[in-house]
Amino acid sequence: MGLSVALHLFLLIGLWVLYSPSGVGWHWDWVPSLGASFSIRLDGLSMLFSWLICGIGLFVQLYAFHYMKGKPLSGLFHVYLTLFMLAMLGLVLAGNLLLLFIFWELTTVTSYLLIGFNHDQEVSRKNALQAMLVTGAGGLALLAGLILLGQMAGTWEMDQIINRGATFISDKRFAPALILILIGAFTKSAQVPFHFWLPGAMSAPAPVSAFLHSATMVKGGIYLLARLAPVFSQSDLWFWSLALTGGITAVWTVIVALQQRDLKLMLAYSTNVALGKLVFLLALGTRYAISAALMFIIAHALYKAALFMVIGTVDKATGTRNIDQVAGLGRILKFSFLAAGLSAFSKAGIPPLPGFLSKEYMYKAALQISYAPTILLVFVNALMGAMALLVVIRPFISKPDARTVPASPVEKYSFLWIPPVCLGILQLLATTLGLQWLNTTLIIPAGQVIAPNAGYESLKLWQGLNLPLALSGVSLLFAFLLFKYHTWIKRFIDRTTRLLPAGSQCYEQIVNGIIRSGSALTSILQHGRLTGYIFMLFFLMALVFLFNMPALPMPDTVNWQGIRFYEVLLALGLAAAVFTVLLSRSRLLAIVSLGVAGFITTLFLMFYNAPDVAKTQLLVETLSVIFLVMIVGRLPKFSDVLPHSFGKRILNTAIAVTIGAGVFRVLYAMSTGHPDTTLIDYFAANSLIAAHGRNIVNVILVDFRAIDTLGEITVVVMAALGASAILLKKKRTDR
Amino acid sequence: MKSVIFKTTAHIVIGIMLLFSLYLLFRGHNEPGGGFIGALIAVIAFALLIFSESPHYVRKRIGLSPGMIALTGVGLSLGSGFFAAFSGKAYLTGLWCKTVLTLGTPLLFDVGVYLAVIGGVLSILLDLAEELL
Repeated sequence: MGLSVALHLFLLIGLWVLYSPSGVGWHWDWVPSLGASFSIRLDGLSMLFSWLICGIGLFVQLYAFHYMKGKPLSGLFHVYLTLFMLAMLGLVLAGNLLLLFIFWELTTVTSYLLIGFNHDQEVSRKNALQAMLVTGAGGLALLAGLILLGQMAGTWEMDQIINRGATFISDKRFAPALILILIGAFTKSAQVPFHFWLPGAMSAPAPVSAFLHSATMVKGGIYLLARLAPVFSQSDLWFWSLALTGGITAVWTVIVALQQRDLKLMLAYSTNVALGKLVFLLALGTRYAISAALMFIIAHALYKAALFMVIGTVDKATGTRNIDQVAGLGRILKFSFLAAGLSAFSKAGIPPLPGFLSKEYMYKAALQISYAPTILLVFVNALMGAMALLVVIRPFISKPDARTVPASPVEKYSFLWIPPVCLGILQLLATTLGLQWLNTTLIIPAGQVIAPNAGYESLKLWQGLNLPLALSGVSLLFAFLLFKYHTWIKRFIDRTTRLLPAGSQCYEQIVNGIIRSGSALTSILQHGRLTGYIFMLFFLMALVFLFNMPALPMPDTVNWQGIRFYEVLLALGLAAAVFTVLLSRSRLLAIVSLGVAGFITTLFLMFYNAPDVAKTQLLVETLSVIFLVMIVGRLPKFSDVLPHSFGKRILNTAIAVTIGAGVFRVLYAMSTGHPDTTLIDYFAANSLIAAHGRNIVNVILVDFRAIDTLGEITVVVMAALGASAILLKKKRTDR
Repeated sequence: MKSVIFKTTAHIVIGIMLLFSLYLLFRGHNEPGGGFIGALIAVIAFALLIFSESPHYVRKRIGLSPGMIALTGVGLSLGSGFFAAFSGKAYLTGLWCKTVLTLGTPLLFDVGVYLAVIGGVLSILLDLAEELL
């Protein structure tokens, strides 16, 4: 705990020392042959995100210190939280597309650990898996999109890609790349129709929600969109897909959010709303829109983290998060009340808090475009405001009634209230004393990364009486009215939305479908009949031979003189052994004959001067005879087994003949043709000089191709493990 | 099958076979032989012992579990590559020391192969023999 706090402070200060608004970068080679390098880029946009990640991370760690105290594995929790923070930091600092993707996936994996932290609860495990599958699937799409983008640019370095970005639009890979990257970003940032995983992730402990929903995870998608905006933003596809997705997400989830009774779920859906608004603002792409988006990222991170912490404290004090069961907490949780109040005011957009400022610029940006986006934003903001009031007024101010659960004074643990109060005060400072600093160090440099030529001006709190201010007032008024009549509105929403399908149900059906078809496929392929497996193997082999037969040379003349008498004898012996196997009525005779065939093959290898191969063949034959003798007593007699049907026999014969002919022609081609001897020459020349061995076969095995051998012995061990698993299972079931 | 003659000869032959398997292992780099072949001979020797005595007897005499032998082997082979990796060469490059005897990491690698194959095949053989004999 102390260590992770020190790490956060170190990172905060380190980033501050290294940062300059014009951007700095470092570069190390990693896998040069793939063009993957470990390059770090610290410019305005990265700085804004990485400071939020470290700063909020610090408060979350402090908060978690008391929140998780006494719970099992709380130390591990801090480790996961720190790992997740580092992955997220890597994501926003990566200067290489491949590196960015790796960190992207790391955030998915570490967030899985965090969301599923209460792993003794089934719902928690299920939701963690859901979050990972949805964002992981999006990650796959993102990878494909990034590869297309890298191919268009011919490099993985983001600096170069963005510099050349304007030329890609005529490329035919432009649209697929854009769509795939958008899928990745939308799943991560929980846009409709992928939004459902985010409320599901609520089963995590409160500090995780505070972190995931404010500065990290879900902002990953927003960061990616902002980062790649210079490449894609000129296309119509970008504008429409972002505007529509963002708009629909904001409107739909704000409606769903008002339906909820669980305080934490309300906040979760309101995160969806915020993300929708951010995507919408990025679509607009004007300087006001981008200033508003950046300001909103800061505002949202601060107030959402604080609110989640407060809800966590409420949960701890009362044991419930149901909005109908908590009331009058203002007197017991004084500091939490202060933090919640400041944060909710920011969320509702009351001056001079950051939420108000971002809303001003939102309206400014929307008014520049047309009335449609303005109305959408007013609607969404009014509902958001109503929700903010609900979250604060109901639990803290309203009078307790019969349903209210009594609260215990948990604020004696100082870490439960210090972090949210600090975040609240930071919000107050951000737009009053710190506004000029924010403008010059973060918002304007970050804006120039997103849209380089927009010509930014500093954000100002007071801009005179104008339409945006009026709209702010209007949305606040609406918010108050909605809050006043919210029970009536909730009933109305409940009635109208009942018939719509929920995203999580669709997800469940898809996952169940995949599992069902998987087990169906397995039962077809893994039927457990050995003869079936062998048949399938040889059948496919015969097919391969059949299709490649014309390419192999046909023997035209036979050199009878070259054949020696013992070769003829051995060949006859081999044929006799094989026919004995086929015709014998006793299993033991068949096994012995099979062994004889193997030993004769060994003799052939001896004649062809391959002692190592011959020895190996001999030993393997011996061992297989040992194994077969061991099991022969357990097998039914040949006469007890029903013979194959006539058609099956014909098919088997055809397969056997095809394989025999194919092998013959391959062997013939090998022994008569002129194979490429580069490798043979190389090994023969270097075996003694470079590898100090005269036995070329062994030198190849243990030196030249040692890594292959390593793989092979691993397979041997795996096979042994598999065999003992099967036998062990049998032993257990016998008992 | 438990004839005294078989038992007694088996014990003698097994000793020779195991010795021979070691001989094949160590001469493998220059003459026909090597870890894989040596290991197979050793396993066949143990198989003889399984038939003449019992699987349980073989397990007791070996002492170590075959799975452990196999894992040690894989670990040895895996580890032998790191000598080169830590001295700045590609993983699994052969390194040689020729002051007294010609010894090198490929020999270590081959010993790893030897143990892995003995352990792996013997494990299957013993499990199967206990199940069936």
